Amino acid sequence: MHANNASDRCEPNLVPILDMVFQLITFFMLVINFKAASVDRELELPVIGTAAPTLAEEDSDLLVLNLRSDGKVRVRGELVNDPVSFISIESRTIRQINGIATGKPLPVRVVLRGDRTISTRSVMNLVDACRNSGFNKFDFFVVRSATQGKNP
Amino acid sequence: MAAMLDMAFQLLAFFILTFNPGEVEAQISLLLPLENPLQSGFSQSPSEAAAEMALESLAFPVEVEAYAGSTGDLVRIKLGDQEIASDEATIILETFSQKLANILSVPGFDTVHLRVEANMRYEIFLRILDRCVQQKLASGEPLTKISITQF
Repeated sequence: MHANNASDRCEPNLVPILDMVFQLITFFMLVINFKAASVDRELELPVIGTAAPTLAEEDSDLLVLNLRSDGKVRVRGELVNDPVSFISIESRTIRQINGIATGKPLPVRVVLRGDRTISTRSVMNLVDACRNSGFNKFDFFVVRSATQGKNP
Repeated sequence: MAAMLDMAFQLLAFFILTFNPGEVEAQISLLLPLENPLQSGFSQSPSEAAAEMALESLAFPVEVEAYAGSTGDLVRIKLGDQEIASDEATIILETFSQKLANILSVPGFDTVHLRVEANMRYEIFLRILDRCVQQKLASGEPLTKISITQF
C-alpha cells in the first residue's frame, strides 16, 4: 500500500500542446512579411484577369512606386513630394554605389503599383521620368480578380 | 512547462496579430528603351537611332491608337486603317485582340506602336497593353517590341 500523496494527482501532459504551438509559431514566422512597408495597401490595383505572375530576376533589386488615386507617389512607406527629383536622386545613388556610367541602363526593376482610377498621363509621366534616369525594366502590378485589390 | 507554454502563446498571439496575408498579384513586365519616347517611338543615341532606322525600314510596325471618352473609358481603337468602336470596352478589346493577332500572323510584322490618349484610365491602358503582350508573331515567338506613347 502506498500513501495518498501529491504524485497521485493527475496532471495534463503539456508536451503535445507545446509542440502544436511551436508548429504554429514556425508557420507564422515563415510567412511573416517584412517588406509590407514598401507596398501601399490602400491602392486598388487594376483588374487584369489574364495577367500571369512572372518570376522576378533573382539578383534584381526593386524600386516600388505606389501611385495613389490622388496622384501622389508613396515610396518605402513615405509620401514623395517631387517624384521626378526623387527618381533622379535614386538613379544617381545607384550609379555611384554600383559604378555604372551615365547613359547605361540600371539593373534595378521599377515596380509600378498604380490605383486603377488614375489616368494614363500620371503613369506615363512617371515611367518617362524613370526612363530619363536610366531605368528600363518595369513591372506593372495588377490583380487578377475584382474581389482582390484592396485589403479590408 | 506551464511558463514555457505561456511564453509560446505570447509569441503565437504576436504573430497572429501581425499576420497580413498578401493578395495574389500579377504583373506585366516590360523592357522599355531609355529616354523620353514622346519625341519618337524609340528614342536612343544618334548611332542607335540610325541603326534603328535601318531596322525600321525592314520591319513593319503596327500602329495602334486608343481613344478615351470624357470619363477615361475606352471608346475606340484605331488599328492601322481600321477603326474598332463599341459601347462595351470588352468588345473593343476582344475585337482588337483578334485583329491584331491576324495582322501579326503575317511574317514581317513584329513591332507595335501603341499610342494611348493621356486621359485614359490606367486600368484600361493596362488591359490594352496586356492584350498586346499576349500576342504571338508568325514565328511563334511572343511579341516583345512594343513602344508606348501618350497623346
